Amino acid sequence: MNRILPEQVLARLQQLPALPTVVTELLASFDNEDVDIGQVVWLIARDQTLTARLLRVANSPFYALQSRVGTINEAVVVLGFRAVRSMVLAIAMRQVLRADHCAGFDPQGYVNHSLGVALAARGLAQMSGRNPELAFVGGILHDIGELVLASSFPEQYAAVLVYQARHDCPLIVAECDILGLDHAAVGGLLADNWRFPASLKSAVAEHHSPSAALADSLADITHIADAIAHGLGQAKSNREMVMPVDPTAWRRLGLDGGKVGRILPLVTEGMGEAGQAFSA
Amino acid sequence: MIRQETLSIDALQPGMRLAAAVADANGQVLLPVGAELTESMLHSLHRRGVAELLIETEVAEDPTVVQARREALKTQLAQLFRKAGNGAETKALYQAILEFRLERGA
Repeated sequence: MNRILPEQVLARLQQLPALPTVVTELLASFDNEDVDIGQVVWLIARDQTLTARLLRVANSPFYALQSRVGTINEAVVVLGFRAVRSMVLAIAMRQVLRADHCAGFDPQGYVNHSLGVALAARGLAQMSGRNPELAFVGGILHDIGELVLASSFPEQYAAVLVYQARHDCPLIVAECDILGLDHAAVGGLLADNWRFPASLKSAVAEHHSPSAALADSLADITHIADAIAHGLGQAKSNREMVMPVDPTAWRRLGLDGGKVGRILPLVTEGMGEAGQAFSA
Repeated sequence: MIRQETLSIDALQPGMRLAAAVADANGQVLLPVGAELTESMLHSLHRRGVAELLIETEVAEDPTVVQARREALKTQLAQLFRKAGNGAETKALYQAILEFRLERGA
């Protein structure tokens, strides 16, 4: 029996290693503009792995800096606190959730797709006057429910992937048929458990059902960005598929073919530059 | 289709479009990506000792090659969009991606 109850997900979430303090501080900082940046920098700098990865991303061609940054402080000065915040979150989440033991789960495809969605979401946010860095983080995290399932319930999730391949159906359909819940719901549980701000929770929990979400949440942007990234085949998997675009999300963002056309190069160009840095 | 090629400063013509920004030794951008070269820009690049530049060129192609690429691309997109339905928004996304990829030749 492969069914998973929300209570079982919650029980597993409690067993996950605690998020590094700096990550909880950063998550809280989305709701608090008076965050003590010096304190956050100090916390990041104490985590060697995080610091090393962060500096590698900051010095990658993606940010096209004119000189190399050597410290977290410099990274914050040059890139801005918000950009550093998204980088730290993206890097740290993947340190905690490792999905190496789920047959059929493709971690590299997951990272590529997440990054594609993040880049598209950032472009859509700029176009619609929303916070681009927040949208970027939402894109990085949007499928984190998949990571929870693949890392905490590897056998059951492997069965989902087999079922999906056999029926060539959307992943959320396979998840509901086999597990009785999908990665958006699981992501929502994680978002509550880790106290994500409401905007990020909407990106994670509502990207497959944006018309039921609030218009100013990140659900619309993440939903469209998801379709764009799949349409560009960023996961590079033959199971990849575009799901129907939600007309409400499209309309609320005021999109048309021309506007989407201007987002596409941001994704394909950003992938080359950011891909290596973020998948490290 | 748009291609990028590196041309020596002597082969550059006014009207050509930059495929990458030109920066000086300090990283200061002199000309942005996409800038259309003018006679005076070329003079100034000469003076600064720039040897070569990455240029975007529009290449006219054999129509049968274009057609074959279009068909191959449509097959790929049909696979990605196989469950996407027929909604107007989905079709607009499909069309934008098709045109983008044809233009980029990727």
